[in-house]
Amino acid sequence: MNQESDPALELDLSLMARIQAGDRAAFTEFYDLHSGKLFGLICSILQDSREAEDVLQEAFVYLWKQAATYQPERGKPLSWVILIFRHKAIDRVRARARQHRLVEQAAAEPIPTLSEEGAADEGALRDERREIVRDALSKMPADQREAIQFAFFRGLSQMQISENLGLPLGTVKARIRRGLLKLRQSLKGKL
Amino acid sequence: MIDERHEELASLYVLDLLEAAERAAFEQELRSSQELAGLVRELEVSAAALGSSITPVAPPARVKAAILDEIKLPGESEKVVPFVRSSVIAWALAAGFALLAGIETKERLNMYDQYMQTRSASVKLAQEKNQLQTEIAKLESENHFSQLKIATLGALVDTYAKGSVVVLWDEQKQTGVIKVTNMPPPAADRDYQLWVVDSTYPQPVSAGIFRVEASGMVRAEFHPVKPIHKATTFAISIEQKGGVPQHKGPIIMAGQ
Repeated sequence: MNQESDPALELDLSLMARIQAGDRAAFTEFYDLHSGKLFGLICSILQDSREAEDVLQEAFVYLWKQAATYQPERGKPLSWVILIFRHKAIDRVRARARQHRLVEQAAAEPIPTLSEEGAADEGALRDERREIVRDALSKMPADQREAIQFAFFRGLSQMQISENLGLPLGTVKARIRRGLLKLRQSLKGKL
Repeated sequence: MIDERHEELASLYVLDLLEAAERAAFEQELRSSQELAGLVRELEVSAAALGSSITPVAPPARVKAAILDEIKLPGESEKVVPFVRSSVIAWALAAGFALLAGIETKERLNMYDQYMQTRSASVKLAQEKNQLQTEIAKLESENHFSQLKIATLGALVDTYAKGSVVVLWDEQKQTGVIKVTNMPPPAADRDYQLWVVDSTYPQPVSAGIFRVEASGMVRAEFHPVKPIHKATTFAISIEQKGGVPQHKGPIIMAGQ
């Protein structure tokens, strides 16, 4: 799927430009298009749907207020948005961990990344891109996949990841580096 | 050529795994290396792709309602104001401009300007709106005017919070007037550019650049570069000197 002829990307760019101009109808359309993906992401990080609702709301309001800072030349709108929403969810995980010391408990829970759990309306929300990413992940060495998924979804520090995986810190960093570079290579020109 | 250490730092950076000091040092390097910045952008796409590997979950409808409620501006004008209706369009436009000029001289409309500067006096705005609607109803009853739209633009960036912008738009004549007060001049190599959002077009339509006087004020007529079928939003961005065909710079003010 190349960027120049991707209608989904064109639509996102158009909506983002209108959102930047304060167009609430465009914001609503963007919400309808992507809230399922973003809520799924937040749920998978927080493991708590009520708290995920709070973060989803907070993140969408933040998006509305900060849309002006998006620069098309820096990347695709959805990539930018996903990282913002992930950051908001991770912030919440870290705040929760600070308050309740639940990091270890959260780390012991299974990573839901590739499973179907939590799916709502899968038929309506099916996404070709998701399958491309899952395929790329499935072809990656398991230790690298585990490292980047752990890093992406857990909100732990480098040291905590090292402790939870029972690996030296240097090994964790190397696996994250190799995993992310491999994912970049696998997805090049496909998204 | 980026070495392994910097690849590692870039990977940890996009996953928010660097400590504050490491992060600050890395960001310093990012500013001076386009190659490193390019790698970070690519890794951000890969990291975001991890997020899109998740099975979607439809959020409850109440979340959407709460979000839309939260982003609503107090007292924001949402609809086209049926200002004047006339068989003599040119005169109607002139009447509209005269009304805009009246904003400078009538005390109650001065209060309206003050509202826009602070965006906090929603009660005053409601009162002003009622007064305006009364006046509009009176004008309509005289059946002399055509339909115009008035948009008040609010700041999206704190620097411009004291700025006040009113746009008067005549869709039939495809022309409008912008009145700006309390706007700081842009950097020497930049201009303010006005945009019209019309859902007919995928991108906002340029309505031209404008330059504020030393006093921070300007009042100017504008003509969008494409026919406008339904103006839903007006916005101002900061662009390179002379303006751009499609907006690139940050949107600093917008309103409907």
